[in-house]
Amino acid sequence: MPFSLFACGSNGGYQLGVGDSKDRHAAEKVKFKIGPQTTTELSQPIKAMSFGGNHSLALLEDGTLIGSGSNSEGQLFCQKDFKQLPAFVPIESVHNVEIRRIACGWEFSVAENVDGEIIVCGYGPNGELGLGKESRLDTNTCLFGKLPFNTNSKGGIKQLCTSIHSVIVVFNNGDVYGWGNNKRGQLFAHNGDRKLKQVREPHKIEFPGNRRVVAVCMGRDFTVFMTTDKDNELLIPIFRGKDNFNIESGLRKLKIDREHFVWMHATWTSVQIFTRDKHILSIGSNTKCQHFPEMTNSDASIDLAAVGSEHGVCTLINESRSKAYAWGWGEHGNCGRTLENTVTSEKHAKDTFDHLNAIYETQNNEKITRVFAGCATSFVEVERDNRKEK
Amino acid sequence: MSEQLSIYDQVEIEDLTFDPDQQIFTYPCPCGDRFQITLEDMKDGEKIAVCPSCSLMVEIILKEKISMIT
Repeated sequence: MPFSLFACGSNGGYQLGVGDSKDRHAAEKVKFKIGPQTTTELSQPIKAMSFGGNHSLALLEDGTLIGSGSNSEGQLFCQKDFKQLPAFVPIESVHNVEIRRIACGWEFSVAENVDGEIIVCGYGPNGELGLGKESRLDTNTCLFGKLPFNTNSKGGIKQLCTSIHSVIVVFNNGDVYGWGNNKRGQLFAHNGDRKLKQVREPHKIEFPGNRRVVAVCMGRDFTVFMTTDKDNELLIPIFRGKDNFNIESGLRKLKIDREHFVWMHATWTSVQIFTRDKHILSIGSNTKCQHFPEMTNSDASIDLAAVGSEHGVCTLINESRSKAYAWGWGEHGNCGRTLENTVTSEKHAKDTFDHLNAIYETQNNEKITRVFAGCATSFVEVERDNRKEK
Repeated sequence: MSEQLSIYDQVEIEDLTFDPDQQIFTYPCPCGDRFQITLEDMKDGEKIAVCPSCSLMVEIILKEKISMIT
């Protein structure tokens, strides 16, 4: 069954992969140039997507990496001569080894391949590449760098997390490493030491009392580590970095135990926590309606969800993957169009959504399979059942 | 108060990138573009950096005078 990807939102750097650089306020089919011809269909599903300021990477089920958007700093693992990729194309430089995991920052990208190598590309003025002194690579001679450890020797990666200027890797053996921007102490306390404010090589991050990290998320200038005690029973959040929006106290007030925590993700200024009972708990800034809308319908449990720079995208369980919605800051069209009968309450600007706004509705032979969100961009993957057409 | 509401976030001066050719400071905006403020404006006491692509604004936090930094 073929898959299509629909996109809307900010597109100044061709990051939607729709062929041009105009913003989209309604979801439009993404273009792929995988064979000789440009198509809008994939023969396999997308396993993961990650987004920088102006670039998008998608990892296909078979480990093929494709990308679109700005490559001005080589952040798409391509030579800088290709300033941008207007449609999603396979990334040839990494084609020989299957990619297992991806994460993007502002103008850089990180990927793990099945050989257990972590490869990095793009521009990292704060040490985001983790390669030492170098902030960028000469893409005429080298399209990516390799970090000096093998993930297989650490039991593999549990989570690879990026913010705009930092990277954190949580390994299955319990080790946690971070690099990049640490000016606000978002990785570990720097105690005013200039050298520790920009961490230019992977640095082991320690936690008190042998706590193990269950999950991590990074906002613009902060990190939340969700940890457990050695018995793996208590869930203890650890906040690091600058707290402009009372996230640390919000975490402390949060009543969530190990059993009910599923995953979390941060916008640049808020934290969204997905619970076992299929709800999203939001803490931090709500000035752009980043908090998940209060639902009047108690049956409205969340099915798929993704969190972008200041918005989120989701589907609801009771709608059988027929509609994708967005909430939060949608000035670039990433939350779809404002419908007249669902005007956001007057205290908010018209381009913020304090309710779930539909961004995609399926035809009768379609089903939404994944949702993704980036820097004011939203993506909805849709599978089409050809048999139903006949 | 209305101006307070329209400020999206605060950013410290040491986090901004300075472009010596254009004499401007920039910082990433969640829309994908960059907040901008000129050195000239900062010397005049301006603290709000604006994004050319959207309505968001950030307030620059300065712990010392701008002349000490440049």
